[in-house]
Amino acid sequence: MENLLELRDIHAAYDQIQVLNGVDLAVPAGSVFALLGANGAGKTTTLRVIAGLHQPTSGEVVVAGRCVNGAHPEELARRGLCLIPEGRGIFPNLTVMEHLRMAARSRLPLAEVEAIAFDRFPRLAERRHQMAGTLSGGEQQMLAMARGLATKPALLLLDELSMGLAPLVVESLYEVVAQIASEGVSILVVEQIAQTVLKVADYAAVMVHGKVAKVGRPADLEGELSAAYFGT
Amino acid sequence: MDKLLTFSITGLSLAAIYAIGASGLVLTYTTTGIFNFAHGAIGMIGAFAYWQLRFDWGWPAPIALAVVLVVMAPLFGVFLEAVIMRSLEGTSDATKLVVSISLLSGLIGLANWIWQPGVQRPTSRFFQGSKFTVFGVFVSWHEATALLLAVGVALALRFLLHRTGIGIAMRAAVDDRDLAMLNGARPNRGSMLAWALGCSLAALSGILFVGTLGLEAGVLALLIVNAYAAAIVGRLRSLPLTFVGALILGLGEAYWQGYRADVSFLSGSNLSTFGSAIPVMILFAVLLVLPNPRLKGRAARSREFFAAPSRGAALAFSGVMVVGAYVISGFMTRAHQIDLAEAFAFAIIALSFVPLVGMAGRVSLCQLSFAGIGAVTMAHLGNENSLRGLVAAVVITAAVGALVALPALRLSGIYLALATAAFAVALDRWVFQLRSFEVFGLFPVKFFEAGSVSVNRVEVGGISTASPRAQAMLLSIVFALLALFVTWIRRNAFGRRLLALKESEAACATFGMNLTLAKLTVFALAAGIAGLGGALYGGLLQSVNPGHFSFVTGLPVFMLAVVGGIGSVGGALNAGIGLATLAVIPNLIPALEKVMPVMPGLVGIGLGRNPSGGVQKMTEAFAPVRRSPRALLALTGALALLTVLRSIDVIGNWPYVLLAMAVAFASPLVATTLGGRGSDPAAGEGAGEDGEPIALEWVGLLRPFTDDDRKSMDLSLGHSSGVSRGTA
Repeated sequence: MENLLELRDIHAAYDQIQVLNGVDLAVPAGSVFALLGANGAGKTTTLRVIAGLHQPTSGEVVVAGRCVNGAHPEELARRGLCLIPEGRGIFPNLTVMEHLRMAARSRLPLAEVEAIAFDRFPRLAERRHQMAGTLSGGEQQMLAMARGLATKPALLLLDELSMGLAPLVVESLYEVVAQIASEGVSILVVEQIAQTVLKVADYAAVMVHGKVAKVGRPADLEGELSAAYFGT
Repeated sequence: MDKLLTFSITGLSLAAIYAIGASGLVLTYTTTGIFNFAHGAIGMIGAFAYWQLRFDWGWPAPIALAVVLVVMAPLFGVFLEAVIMRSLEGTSDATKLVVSISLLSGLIGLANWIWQPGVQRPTSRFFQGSKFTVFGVFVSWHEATALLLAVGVALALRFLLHRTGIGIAMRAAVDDRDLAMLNGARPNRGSMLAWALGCSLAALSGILFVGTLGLEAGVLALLIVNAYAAAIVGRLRSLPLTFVGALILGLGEAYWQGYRADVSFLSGSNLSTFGSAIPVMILFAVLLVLPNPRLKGRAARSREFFAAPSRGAALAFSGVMVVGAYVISGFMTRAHQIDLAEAFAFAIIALSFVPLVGMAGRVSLCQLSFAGIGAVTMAHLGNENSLRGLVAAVVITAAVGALVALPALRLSGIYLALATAAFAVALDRWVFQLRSFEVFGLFPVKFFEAGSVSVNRVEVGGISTASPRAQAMLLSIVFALLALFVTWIRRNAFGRRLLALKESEAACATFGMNLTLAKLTVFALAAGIAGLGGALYGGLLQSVNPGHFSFVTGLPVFMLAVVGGIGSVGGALNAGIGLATLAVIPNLIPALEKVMPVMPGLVGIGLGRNPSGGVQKMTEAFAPVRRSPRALLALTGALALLTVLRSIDVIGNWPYVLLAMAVAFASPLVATTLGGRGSDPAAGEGAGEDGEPIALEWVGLLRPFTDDDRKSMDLSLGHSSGVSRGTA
């Protein structure tokens, strides 16, 4: 299968603190790929490098066969790459509808965006004129995903979808993730807590100290996880 | 009834102008997070440009309007955004303020340079002042135009921000700039548009004001300060509330003018100047009443950084300064000795910013007003015993400082800056103009007696300080002592508490720290220092008037202190010397006289590039000299030699100054070559290649990381795998 996203030997640093020490990763088209690891392993930085928010010091980011190093985040966003950052990717002072308008800016007509978002999350339709800052945590995460989907992304990057949410809400959000993937969107999910995401993931990788320590099918990895989190 | 209607219409048209000005301010603030103090000044420049085209060159009004509002103002806005404002991301409120305040004073200087002040400039209102009647009351077309324009602006802005893609993207970028980029928005374009529109709206309000008032740069630039009150009613975010605020202001002002004479207890002479202070009073009141954001949990990050000076360095600094002042003042003419004394007087006043702004992170724009109160106290209470006058000046200003701080305790950042600015302007426009009066028949209160008052010079133990040189020495010694005091504060528990307050109020509260007490103390302390400075400054001048202590006069003091580095004593000295230099240069080079008022503006604007201040950079540059005793000795020797040459009149004043500066600039180079040899153990361990041992948390800041650092860090963190990583 062809890889939609490939990272080749990515190194990245914040000032003098080296965070990524040669990350290699390949996300096959149309798959759900879970990137796991403890705090500080470099998961979020990896996502930021992919989205163009952080420049790697060396290595290549390849999206759909093209090297996109140095591209601006808004350029990548327009090319179908969508990052939903951790801690709810929403604008608190914009209404639900205005979020969708943001998503509709460069690609689809508003009506189509509305259809995509409200079909998937009927709850949002009820709250369309409400400020996003006043929604519940789960609704905010739905909104973040809805506006992400409304850009018709080829690749969806989800950072800590479960953060601060009740387990039941997380499960239902991951059901939506599975549905989205079944429609052909590739998804790269970063999580600290593995159980829920491994139920829907096709592939998983474990990061330790800024490197990918293990890659494989979820079933193969379960034994490796505790080692990654607690050290050997 | 007719009277009510007449004044209502005047008030409404005034409100319309305020609303236009304030909405431009809100637009730039919401989209870029920068409160533009120069908004009024931009409007003022727009008004002058319009006058130039319309009345001096006689262009038709529509063309002149179009050129100013559609071409010049937006271009200026784009220029501002691209050249100045974009580099301000991640800087503190004080820095952002200073940049826009610099712009304000620079633009006033520019206007006075291009359009000479004091010249009559005939203007006329739109439609030559023709009128129509509504319910039997005359309404001028000018007023009607202002109203219609305000409504138009309101609708257009509402449409832009809520109905267009770029408008929504602009609001999104305010909430989260990174996320907006991830959505494919281009925040820089939004900011640029906001600045362009903001400048255009400022110019429009400026032009509308000109129809009602004359053309005077300072007045026009500050007139729109009134509009700030409207913007604050809208909490700098909501446009509808901003319009409500403008209505309150406009109608309030109009009714005050219309009805004051009818109400007996309002017609007293002490209230005759109160009308002009109404808008700033409203501004102050609104700031106090408004719900404020709760304690911020997350520390505000900025790229500013001030190290604590060591005790030895502070002592050396003070000593060198006093000795230097003594030596240099010996070569000076009397006039220049007064300039030197003035430099130290301003330095003392600027020193009050160091604990308040530099340590506690609370921006006050009324320190020179406190100095004015100090000077007035000295004038009235220091006649018989000058020391008693000084003590009274410190105590009274400290008390006033605490009083001002008391209602403003919960304010911080831009809101506090605005409240203190409102206080300063209220003093300017009203309190300082008052004649003496009695408080409940108990004790008299006197200010400038509607003119100027004379202030005594200090006499300590029978030693007179009447000569200019003695004044210079007195002020330099007071400054040195206060500098030591402030440094001592920085190094003790109170200073640490202030720094903690600046970083995170929430964290301080959880430590059980008394926030109220700390804030009150630092306000009173800063006011007391300013009051002392003001009393001494008054003694130096011998006769003072409100103009010496006005809000606008105080802006360059704040600006230059921040430019020097508001967290350090050196920054305050920089402010004093900078102001004195600016005053002296026109005497030396008359051609530069007009340019001088623009200078502080330019200096301040440069600050965005280097937010920790110039003194910090200089201290870093001189670090090799301080570490190498040899270089220090060579520097002192060279300076002493020059001084001897000057004192036996081998060289004149100018060569002396220039040579001394050359020696000082060359010394870091000399020190690095001396230290670079490394063979002499006397060169000191600090200058050697290895450097002195540095605490682990400073590694990376003071010198780059090495593999050894990583290993020791891994070890101390208990990363066993880290060690193997290091060796792998």
